[in-house]
Amino acid sequence: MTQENPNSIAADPSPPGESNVAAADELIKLQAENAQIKDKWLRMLAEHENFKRRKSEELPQLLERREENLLLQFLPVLDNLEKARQQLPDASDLQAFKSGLELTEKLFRQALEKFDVYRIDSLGTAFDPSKHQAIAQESRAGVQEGTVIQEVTPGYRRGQRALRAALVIVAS
Amino acid sequence: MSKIIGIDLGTTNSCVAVMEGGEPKVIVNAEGNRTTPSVVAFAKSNEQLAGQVAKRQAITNPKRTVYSIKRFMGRLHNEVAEEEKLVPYQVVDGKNGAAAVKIDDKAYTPPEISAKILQKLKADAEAYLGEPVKKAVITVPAYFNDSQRQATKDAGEIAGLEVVRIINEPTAAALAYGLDKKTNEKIAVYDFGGGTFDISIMEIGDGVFEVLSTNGDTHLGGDNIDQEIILWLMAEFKKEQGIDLASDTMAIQRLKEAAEKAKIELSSAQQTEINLPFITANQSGPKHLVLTLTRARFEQMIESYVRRSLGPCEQALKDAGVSKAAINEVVLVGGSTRIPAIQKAVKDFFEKEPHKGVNPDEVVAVGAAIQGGILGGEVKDIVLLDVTPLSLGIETLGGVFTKLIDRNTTIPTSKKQVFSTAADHQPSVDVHVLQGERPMASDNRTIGRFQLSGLPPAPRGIPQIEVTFDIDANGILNVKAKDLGTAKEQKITIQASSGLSKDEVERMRKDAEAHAADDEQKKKIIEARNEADTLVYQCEKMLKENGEKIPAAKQEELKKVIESCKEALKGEDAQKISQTKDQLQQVMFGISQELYQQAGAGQQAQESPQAEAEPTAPPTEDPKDNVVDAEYQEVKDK
Repeated sequence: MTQENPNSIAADPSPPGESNVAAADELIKLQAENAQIKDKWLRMLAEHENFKRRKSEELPQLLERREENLLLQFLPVLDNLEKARQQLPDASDLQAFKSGLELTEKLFRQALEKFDVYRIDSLGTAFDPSKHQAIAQESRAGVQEGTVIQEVTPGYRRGQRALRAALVIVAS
Repeated sequence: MSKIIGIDLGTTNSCVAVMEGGEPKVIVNAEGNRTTPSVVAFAKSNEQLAGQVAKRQAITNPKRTVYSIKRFMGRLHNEVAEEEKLVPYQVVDGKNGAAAVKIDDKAYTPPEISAKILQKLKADAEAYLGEPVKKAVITVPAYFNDSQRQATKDAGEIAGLEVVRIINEPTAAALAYGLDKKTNEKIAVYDFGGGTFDISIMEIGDGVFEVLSTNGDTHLGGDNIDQEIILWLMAEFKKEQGIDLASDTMAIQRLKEAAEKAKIELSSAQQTEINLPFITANQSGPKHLVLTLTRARFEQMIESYVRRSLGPCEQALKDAGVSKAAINEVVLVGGSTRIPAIQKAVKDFFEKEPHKGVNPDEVVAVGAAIQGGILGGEVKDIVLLDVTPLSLGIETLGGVFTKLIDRNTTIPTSKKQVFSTAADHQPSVDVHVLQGERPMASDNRTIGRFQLSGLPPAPRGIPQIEVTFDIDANGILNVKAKDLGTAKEQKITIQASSGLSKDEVERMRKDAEAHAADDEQKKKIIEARNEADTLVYQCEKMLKENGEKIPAAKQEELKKVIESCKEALKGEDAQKISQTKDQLQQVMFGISQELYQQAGAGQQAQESPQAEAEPTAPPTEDPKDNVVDAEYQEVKDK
């Protein structure tokens, strides 16, 4: 940057050199600000993309969970239906009634199967906390430790995942 | 930049949350739950379990299932004699006399145990975010000393997390309610959790929280409340049926679940029925438990526990040198604070309404996530964005108001949509810009108007006029109409809201709500009319172009139905219009099918020059595929 001839007409009120320096400073400042704003903007855009992706992935999961919660509400009904059928004495005059209960139970299970819900077979299997919850341990002659000896409440799975863990008693 | 997650590492349950899009979000774990039990287990197979899975096998593996490890974090063995008695796992002397847990032959430090819980939370967060998580904010009780805080930090490190900050649980709760924005206020945080009760008195000033005092009861929580209900159920059952369920493990399990369910129901209902068929059986057959628990009875049951929580509150106030009246805000934490009796007790004690909008089981994690967001530079410059208070759009065929920008859309924003002409050879389109919520243009507020002229002659529905609405950060609206065929365009600039006051905006909204049903009706009629009109046009066109191909009898039939439709369109009877339209459609389809079968090729739309005076008509919606039909699809700008 050179100095202007001080004798020139219509000279600047402020020394020309200074205004050049001021302009250069301003430029640097603005460039830095510009870079910052660009960076913020790009980050925001990226976060926006990530957010969209997460939301789209989340929706099917939310729907699934909604269904699961609904199904869980109905399982106790089936539990008691099963108990009722099991505890009905074998008297001949009650056979028709027992059949009726069995058929009702079957209807319920078939409805559940439409939602990929199946009963977990726990009795006699090895205790597995991913599908069983132990509520007690008991020793049982001739039974290997860690085997499920009693099913207190049946467990149900949805696909391969446990929807409700079975409540069991395990051999110690 | 990786996200900083917020973790509430609780005694009974833990929770993890993260900031997303400027809002805290609780992360659901792999099992589908929003909280994770703070339980770690070493299975027989040497597999290490954490969370719900570990809890489920606790009974079969009591010595190697560790719960409530938080009670031992950063403590010396000789300090925890009382706690030690209450847990089935072995607590021993660790390095420098610190408490440690002995599993088989190995001694684990409490941080090592907690790390396994943190590892699971980290994995769940990574699964949700789809990216690695390296940093976290973890909360601790306000009364934790240095050694306990360090232990928590160590647990994070072992789990592979850089703990960027340890914050107090009451502080996190206050953050979740935005109380960090307050100045010179006193805050009381009442935390009634699953197993512990904590009260903290804090002061907020200049964005910094200072803990003035803490107090509590390390063995008072929701579990006590559940227990009371179970005892009551057993007592009532014994009274009614003479059977003692106390030694029946199977029955007790069902009672436990029923008690928790009843407790939750009584938070909203005045009474609840506990219905447990086949709870047990004896020689005389199966027995059922059916009992009704009223809220009044329930409140009696838990009264002593509630009262027990107030003693520490008194003491905390005294220690802080603060009177009840001086407390400005009260925050509720912990699932049990959902119980109306507890909420009332807290309100009566502090003589003010407590904050309770955030899920009390999650509020601490939410606050930790907010802190993580602040540290990560996310919740920074609060760029307050405005929204448009009322919907904006244009008038389309039939006097309908077609929205381009919905109300409450954040600005700046831009929306465009393609429209077309309503009449053949229409030389210009009138863009009538309106603001409001009613479906009919005449019921809304005109804010601008302009014309785009010089459109080349074309049949109706063929020209493509792209209308763009653009609002800048200052709320100034630019509307542009561009003929995509000739690239001719015209635009107009409209000032923000044009002087509508808040009240006027509200009035317009309320108006729209009140007239919603009528407006919907009107709109339906117009839509039916438009559809019928378009169909008549198409049929007449087809007749003209393909008359020779259609047998005379069919032509007559078509002409007759077209006439009846046109007659109906002259009137206002929506049903008649619909009916004749359907008839016309049927006949038209029949003829089209035949034509297609004959020709085997698609029909070509021909331009037919007509020397007629064309009035300037408003743009119509183009029913073809390449145009979004705004009347049937609400495009919401979020």
